[in-house]
Amino acid sequence: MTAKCPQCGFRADLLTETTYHTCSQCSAVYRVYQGQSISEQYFRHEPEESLAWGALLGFLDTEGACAPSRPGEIAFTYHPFWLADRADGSTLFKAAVSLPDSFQPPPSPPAGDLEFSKNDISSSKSSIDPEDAFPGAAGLKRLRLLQVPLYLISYEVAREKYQATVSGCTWQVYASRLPEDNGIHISLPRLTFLAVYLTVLIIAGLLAPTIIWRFGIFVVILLAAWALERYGFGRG
Amino acid sequence: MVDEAIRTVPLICGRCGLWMAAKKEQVVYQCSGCGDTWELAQGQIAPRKVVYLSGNGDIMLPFWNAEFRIACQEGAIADTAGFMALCGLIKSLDDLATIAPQLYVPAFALPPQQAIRIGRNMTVRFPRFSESAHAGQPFMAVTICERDVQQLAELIVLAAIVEGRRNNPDFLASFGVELSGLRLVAIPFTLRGRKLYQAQMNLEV
Amino acid sequence: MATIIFKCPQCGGPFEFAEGDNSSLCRFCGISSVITGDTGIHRLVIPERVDLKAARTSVRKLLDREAGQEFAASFSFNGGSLLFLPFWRIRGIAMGWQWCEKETFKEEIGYDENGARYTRRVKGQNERIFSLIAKPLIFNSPAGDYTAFGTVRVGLAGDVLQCEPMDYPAVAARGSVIDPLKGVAQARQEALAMARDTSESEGIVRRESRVRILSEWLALMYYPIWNLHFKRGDRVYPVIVDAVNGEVSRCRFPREKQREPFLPLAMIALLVIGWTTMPVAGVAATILAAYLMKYRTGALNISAIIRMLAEIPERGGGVQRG
Repeated sequence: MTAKCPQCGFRADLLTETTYHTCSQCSAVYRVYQGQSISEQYFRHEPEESLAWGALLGFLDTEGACAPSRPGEIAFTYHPFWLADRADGSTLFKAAVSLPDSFQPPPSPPAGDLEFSKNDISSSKSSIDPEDAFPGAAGLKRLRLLQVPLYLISYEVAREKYQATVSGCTWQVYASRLPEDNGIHISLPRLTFLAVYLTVLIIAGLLAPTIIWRFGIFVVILLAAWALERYGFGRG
Repeated sequence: MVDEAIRTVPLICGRCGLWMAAKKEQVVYQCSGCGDTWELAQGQIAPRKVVYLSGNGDIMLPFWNAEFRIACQEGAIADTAGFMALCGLIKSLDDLATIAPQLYVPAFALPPQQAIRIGRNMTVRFPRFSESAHAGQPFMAVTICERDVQQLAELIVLAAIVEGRRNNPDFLASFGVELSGLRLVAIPFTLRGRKLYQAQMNLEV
Repeated sequence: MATIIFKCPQCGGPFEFAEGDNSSLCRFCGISSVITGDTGIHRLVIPERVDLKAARTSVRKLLDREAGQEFAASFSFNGGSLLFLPFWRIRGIAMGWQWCEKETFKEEIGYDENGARYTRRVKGQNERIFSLIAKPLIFNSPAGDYTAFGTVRVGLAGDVLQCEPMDYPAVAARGSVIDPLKGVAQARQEALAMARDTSESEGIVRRESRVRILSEWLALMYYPIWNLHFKRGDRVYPVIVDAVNGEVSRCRFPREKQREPFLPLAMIALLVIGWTTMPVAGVAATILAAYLMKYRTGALNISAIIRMLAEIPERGGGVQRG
């Protein structure tokens, strides 16, 4: 069987259809499916976990969600996605391998700088045939396997686990649920400050002989507490 | 990913080496020195044959000319008699009845509606031309390229067909035009006032 | 209309092609050349006019203008890169035919049993209309999903600015060249759908058409944008700046409004002074405190009270684009 390299066009004689082949001319990796050469391409990306984590925190911040107090687990991977052109000109995009747990895949192909895969690039191979990925989709042409750089992040907020996927191409965050910021937590220093303030007020209120004395002492205590707070006392 | 970038190709006659002048929208180029005609094909200047047709006139207008057959719900219509029936024309055809009809598509710059009207008028007049011995005369700039002829051909043929047929969606859905023997021809016209006139077809452009 | 600048093959002078032209004349030596692209696709690039420093300044100015200097200063620049986004650009003439079946109505005059005249709308026979379409077509479409980059005004820039032929190695040395993922077939479909789209749809029951693009001039135009990152603490915020006009296309900088510390302290003091004086004063102080709480924070519930006491910053507002 003859197959044409999708990168350089070199025609090679192949023994089987479904194995990955490396072009002898340009080293591009491709597979052959139903007589069609399927190119494998990856988005150029330099992994940077700290940036992915920062992007997630920034996203949670802009969405008004609660941020985790400690870093989560970050796994970087090149995840395979099928990209198919339909006869009518539209495109189909679907994960070739299911993402683990409840990580959300990107819904559309990201924008990035593509390169043809070579054998030395570590990438997860597809375990789903295009037909399984796009059942009933007739007239598919120009099938491509895109290796998309993804950061799979697991983190914890208030003892509940959450997952988020960060795209290495656009730093967009995909998550099915976000930790809600209900905000009803007071830090210990703040609680202590308020408790001392309240105690002093109550004692002063009970011990003050007249209402005028009481009012005067309360104003002093209030101004003192306000001054202390402005200098950073009692902030969590 | 690396792709071939946009580039320019010098407009030089492949026969005599002269620089050829061209209008911005022109797609077929003629050398002013030797009269040879050229076009851009696969990134290079390649020869383009132009057939000069006989007739009276000193102004040559270019047309795309081809035999055509119509595919429609009644089947394939490949002769002039069948085409005339579709057009609702009553005309004595003599020996033309059984031969394939000829289509003429103006290849020079015209407003689209006018181009379709002229193409329709020429096609339904069934002109008969012979090839001229005088080749190499300058002709008006060709601005319609070969790949656009198919769409114009469909519109010209539809413009010739009776309205009753055109307004039938089933007819339109199955309608198609197949061209064969497509060639670029130059037909002589004479200047009459501010218009160009072709005596054989009694046609004014 | 985009203008493409080349070097004349004869004299080396700057040589201009307007978009849609097949050939052009050199102003200096008078020779003509034709233009050709990869499989009929002209690849062009709009050079960037804004450098990294100017892009950063643009973001700072936006934050400063909309949220103040202190807010702007809370964010620090954390790196960025230049991207070239491909857009399909199609020019030509959309030509074809269109057939439609349209409902028609007529007004019928009648008289009721009392002799009063009335008119009513009666459906007539459907009208069938065949028409030719011939209109100029200028179409721009992103060659991929660029929602992450905000609104890019490639159409306007392409019409006004000078473009250069795409020299991939030279452009790739300045930034990342994004690969087109939407094919030309899909771009053509969209262009034809736009050409076919008519505003008149009332009463149309059926429509058929066959339209193609004649004298097609197809280009893949690369538009530059800056993809920047700004940091506040351990949070990273992506920002997109148009590298042609310097405008911030997309950003989301959330604002945290620190609460005024005096109010919660004053309310606690008010409550204590009221309840330590007499119960009636305590009730009055409670009502006053509740009113102040509602007036300043807009809510009167446990969660709002705790947020105010704990000085959890108010969220909302900030600077947002795209």
